[in-house]
Amino acid sequence: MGFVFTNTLAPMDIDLNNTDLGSKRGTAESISILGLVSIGDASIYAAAKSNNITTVKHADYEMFNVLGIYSRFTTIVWGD
Amino acid sequence: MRPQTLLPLFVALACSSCLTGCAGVPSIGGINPAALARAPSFPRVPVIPPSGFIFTDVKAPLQTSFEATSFGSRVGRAHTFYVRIPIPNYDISFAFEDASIAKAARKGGITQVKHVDYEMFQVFGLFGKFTTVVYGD
Repeated sequence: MGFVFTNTLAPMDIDLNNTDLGSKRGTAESISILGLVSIGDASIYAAAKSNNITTVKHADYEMFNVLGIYSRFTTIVWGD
Repeated sequence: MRPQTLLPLFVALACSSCLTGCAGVPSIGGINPAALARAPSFPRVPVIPPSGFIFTDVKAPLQTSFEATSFGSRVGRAHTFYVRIPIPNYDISFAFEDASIAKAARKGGITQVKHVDYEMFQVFGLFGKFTTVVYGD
């Protein structure tokens, strides 16, 4: 994680035996302002619902941060 | 711009970065010690999104292993509560209730659990609510 700037993606699910990603990608996010207020729905259900995914096959996450002023956590799900 | 005028900005940025450095780093596959320090009753969860010192209302996965995971047709919720009374030189806090998977499933009429998320709500570290959200049939 960078102190000044972070924009990284990484696996949330690390059980990858014969993982098929499926054809759809859904996202859901929560944000934090100045580390003081944090709101949002980054659940798997919300991410799946965002693109009508009924079967989740894999999940990654994205972390975006600028100087600790604005942070965003995104759950990314893959499935059908 | 003179250095004197930049100083408050750097101090503010340093403070905000420190706050999010302690509280804002998501913990994947482990425990965020800072989050545990702030809320002793915080359950063990695999993913902790950046949290807010003043106010937090976030939802995140409680499960991080997916293999053709579906959600079913029912949702069940169960909560625990945390209350802290700020008295100088003392730390008086209470944590109570049942946020187990079993109770959430029972409340939602679920006999087969398919996925679990969680919700975390807290205000100033004085009041917190942890909710287990179970999906299934």
